[in-house]
Amino acid sequence: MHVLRGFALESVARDETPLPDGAHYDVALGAWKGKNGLLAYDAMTGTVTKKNDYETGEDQKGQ
Amino acid sequence: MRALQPVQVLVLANLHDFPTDRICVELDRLGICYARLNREDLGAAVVRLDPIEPRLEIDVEDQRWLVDQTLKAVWWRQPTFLRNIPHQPLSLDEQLDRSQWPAFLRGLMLFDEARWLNDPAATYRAECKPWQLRQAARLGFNTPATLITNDPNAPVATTLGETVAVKSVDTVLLREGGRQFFAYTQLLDWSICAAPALRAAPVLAQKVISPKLDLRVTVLGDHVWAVSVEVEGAGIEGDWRLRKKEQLDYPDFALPPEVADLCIALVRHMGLVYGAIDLALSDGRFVFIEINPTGEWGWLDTPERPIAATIARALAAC
Repeated sequence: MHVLRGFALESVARDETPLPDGAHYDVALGAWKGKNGLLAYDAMTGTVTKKNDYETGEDQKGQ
Repeated sequence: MRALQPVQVLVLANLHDFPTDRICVELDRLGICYARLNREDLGAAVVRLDPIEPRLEIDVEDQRWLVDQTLKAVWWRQPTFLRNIPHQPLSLDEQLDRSQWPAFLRGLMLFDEARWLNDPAATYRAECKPWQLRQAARLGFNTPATLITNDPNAPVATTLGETVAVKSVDTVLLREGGRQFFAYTQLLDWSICAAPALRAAPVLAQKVISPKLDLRVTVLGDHVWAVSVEVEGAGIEGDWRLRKKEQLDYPDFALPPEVADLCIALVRHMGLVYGAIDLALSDGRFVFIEINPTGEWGWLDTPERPIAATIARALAAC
């Protein structure tokens, strides 16, 4: 087996990335809002961390 | 019907791009007229683009936006390379969606009098690791000895060492059924790699840097934010992304001015405005690892490192 396959980390694939529960996207503002305000500033959501199980940036590397 | 709102800053993102939420909020605070288009929403949006004039009208829900030559800046957060390889055949509608909407978004490069963060064409080239290494070396960065090969008989052990850092030439994200596979950097004995199977695809082999302290240097124009990546106050052997995020700390790191200047110069040289550079500090030397022209920054954005606010100001000030 090729080394890149042999040492790749296996995980469960997701067909869809879930959208935040209990929040709505404000089209005019361009941001998600939850009960406690903007999700992007809510540390509990973990939405802006590097290791968020998926990268949220435009590179979409999936990990 | 609601009147068209002229747009000064166009934000091209996706619904899960929460760091871009922060930029939008900052643009709102600055009183900038902006529009955010998410890739997922395009099917429900209505667009009318005259590429000659140029003029773009966008309707999304109750919002109506007008983009024309007065556009000042674009925040581009679209994939340069789609790395999520489909694991099953796509329907005809899916194929249409996946080919035409990205092409439409790329076509917005026609608004070439606006400042693009980053320019998609520059991003395309800057994503190439071999080109990155060449440019970094050319500008004076220390770079690790590197060989990209699919040759099991290549003299890697004698030139780079018995143990090497093995990386993919580009992100490896494979999928089979419900399982996916992601390739991190691995420190391996080359004899493990040098099997006939290596012929199937090249790998990027580099001389191991050890011990090291990983540094992430985020550059936006002339702004530089540098952090180290540590576990319990120490550097990390191998790929730090394999550690649990709860273990990691990202304290600020004071880069020597000449290294910071080199980082700024590299981003500029590549035709970028934004870049996330990975360096390793080893034995007093700062070694270039790679640059991520689309690298995530949300995990580093804090009141002390106001990256989102600085990006917003950069977009607004064009």
